[in-house]
Amino acid sequence: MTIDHHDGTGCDAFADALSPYLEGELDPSTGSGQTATSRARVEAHAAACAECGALLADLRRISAEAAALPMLEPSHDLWQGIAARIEAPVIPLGASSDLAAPRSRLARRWRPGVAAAALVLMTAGVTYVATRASLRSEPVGAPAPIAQGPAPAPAEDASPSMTELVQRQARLAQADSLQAIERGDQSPVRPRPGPERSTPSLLVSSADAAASSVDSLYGQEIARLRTLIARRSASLDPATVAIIERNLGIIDSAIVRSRAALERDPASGFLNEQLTSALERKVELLRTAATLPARS
Amino acid sequence: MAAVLISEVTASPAMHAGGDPDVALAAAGDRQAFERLYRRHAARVYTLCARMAGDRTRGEELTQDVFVRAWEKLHLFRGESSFSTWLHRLAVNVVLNDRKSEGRRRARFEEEGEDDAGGGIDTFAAPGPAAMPAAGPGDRMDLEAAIAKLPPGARRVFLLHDVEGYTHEEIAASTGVTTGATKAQLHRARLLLREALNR
Repeated sequence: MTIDHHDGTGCDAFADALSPYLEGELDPSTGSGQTATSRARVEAHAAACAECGALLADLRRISAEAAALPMLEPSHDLWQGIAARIEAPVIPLGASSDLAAPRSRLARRWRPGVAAAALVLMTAGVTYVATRASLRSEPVGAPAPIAQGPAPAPAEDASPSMTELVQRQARLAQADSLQAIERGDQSPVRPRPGPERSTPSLLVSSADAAASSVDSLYGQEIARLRTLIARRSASLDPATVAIIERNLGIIDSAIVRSRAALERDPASGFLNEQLTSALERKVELLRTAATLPARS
Repeated sequence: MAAVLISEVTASPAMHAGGDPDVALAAAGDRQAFERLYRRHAARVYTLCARMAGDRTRGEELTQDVFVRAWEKLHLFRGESSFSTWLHRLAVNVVLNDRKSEGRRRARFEEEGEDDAGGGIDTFAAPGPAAMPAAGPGDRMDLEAAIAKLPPGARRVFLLHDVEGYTHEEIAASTGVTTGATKAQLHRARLLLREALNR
């Protein structure tokens, strides 16, 4: 088959040679062999065959027009969302459980409490920043009163009280967890003789308390993020919101199953980790939703 | 993980600026300087992200991801290329990695899969809710809309090669396929675009 034929076989050979031709991979010489496909032969066929000539011209035009496409502009200023994200510290929520070496049963018991403390610190910060950004971007319903006397404190001044509250909660959770460790130190893992020795039931109850505290902390943060998303729902893309809700439903099912299993086996480190992991995923997804840019 | 188009190696502080004082200031933590960099480069980054995603809303999200990533990685900028080139390559990496992450998310949540996994297919992709502007009934489709409707694999290669000017070797390295595959994708993309534009 040669490209010089102006019948179907020549067109087939032209089609085969077209991509290498456009990529500049063909020999520029005229070529004389029966199967040689040089640039000159492709061009000769394109000049003689109207259909192939039009194809070549169209593909060249498409490439040229693509290279000259104009720049696009986003529908709104994206800086606010970027600023909110670079102001908030990001702690990879799942990293510790995925990468760390196998933990002892003791470590597994206190890990959720510390993770929750870190999570609350972080997500509360994100929620605060996102809320602030959201409020700044939303129209104000009533005109602000004219200031009398000293100017009112800026909104940023409100942050310490919220941060303090969150830190206090985190410290309490951490303290609970540390107490659990201390008690755990005297547990069957490393039994010690003496009157201060804790019983397994005490250990379980402290683990229960830590788990309850963790659950509560996640619950508070989830509620905060839910409120923020509800406030922003009108400005979010409905299709995106629908996907988020669907995925939240899947995570919620996992949470329900984990809780049900934990009721049957409250001391299970594995089930506690499963629940914590599902809660982490839920907070992570809600946090993403809360900081999504408004729809165009 | 796909090979990256930028090298994230540690740089000496003296090399940070790359001739732009705002780059040096931003690398030292100055957010106002970083905002100025954003203002100068946002349109180009957004253009790349929106076209690669085939969706303006997703393009805006990815643009934010790019600048957040740039903020985190700016201390690694060596100044060997211009900041604009570094940022653009970072944007390409973010978009390409997002596609991989998106695939993992879809698998995780059992969402319906995308239409190709880099091998390309012969049909146009269905547009998303915020797809790039399409032609109205009876109108000829313009190039922008036709590109947005390309299958993702073909769209990526076409945009990186014909619009952004990357070589097949660079594209192959960043997407983890052979240059033969990228050339095939590019040719397929051009033929599909011709078909769409001539309808």
